[in-house]
Amino acid sequence: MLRGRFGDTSGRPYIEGHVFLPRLEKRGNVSFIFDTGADTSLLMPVDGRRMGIDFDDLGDMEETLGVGGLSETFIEPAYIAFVGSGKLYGYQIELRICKPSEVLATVPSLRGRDIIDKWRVIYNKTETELSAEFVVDQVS
Amino acid sequence: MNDRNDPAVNFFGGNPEEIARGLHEYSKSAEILSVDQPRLINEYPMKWVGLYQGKVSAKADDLPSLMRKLKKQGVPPGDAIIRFIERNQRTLIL
Repeated sequence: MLRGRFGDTSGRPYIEGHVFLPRLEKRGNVSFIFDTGADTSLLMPVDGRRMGIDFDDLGDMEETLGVGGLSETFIEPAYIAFVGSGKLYGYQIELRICKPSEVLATVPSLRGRDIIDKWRVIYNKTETELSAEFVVDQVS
Repeated sequence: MNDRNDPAVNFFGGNPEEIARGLHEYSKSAEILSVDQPRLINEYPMKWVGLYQGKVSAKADDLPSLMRKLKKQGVPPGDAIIRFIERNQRTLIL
């Protein structure tokens, strides 16, 4: 069972995971907003910088659409790991990495449905419970 | 020691036990940011803060300064949680 948390003043849902970018040989732990409205997971600039990513090394770009309009994102092969009940579970995904911009500078990264679709989730804000069972995992 | 014959090691690019331990520590540090904890906004309004091993390790007015402070303290930025503490948090619709 993976445990998340409700954070910030507004009680946004978060789940922590470990990101490994093999091509760039970069890794780091990331606190993701749990976002069922996001088609894919997205690494925001604050976490990209923290992991030491050189944005000039990123190549495969696409435009993604959000409430604020179009954003430029880079597609990068990634492995994402989560800890549940003391065990590590992992997924291989095409992670979107957001190009740095002033307006997105403080926005947390997003855990999208590329991962959430593989979980059975309990979202109970009233009792402060955010948890997930791993229905599908690639390596554990 | 990494065992390159272990599929889990190859998958995660590192020792799974170390990754699990680090992620567990990171999640514990993140609890500081949970809604039921004392608000960082009272102590660090409009500051960038770096959280590591369950406490605020550094604060700064901008992200590059915070990263420098963390590195100076021997805190690996990849293992720290970094947040900008807004005085009036903006509504996020993503």
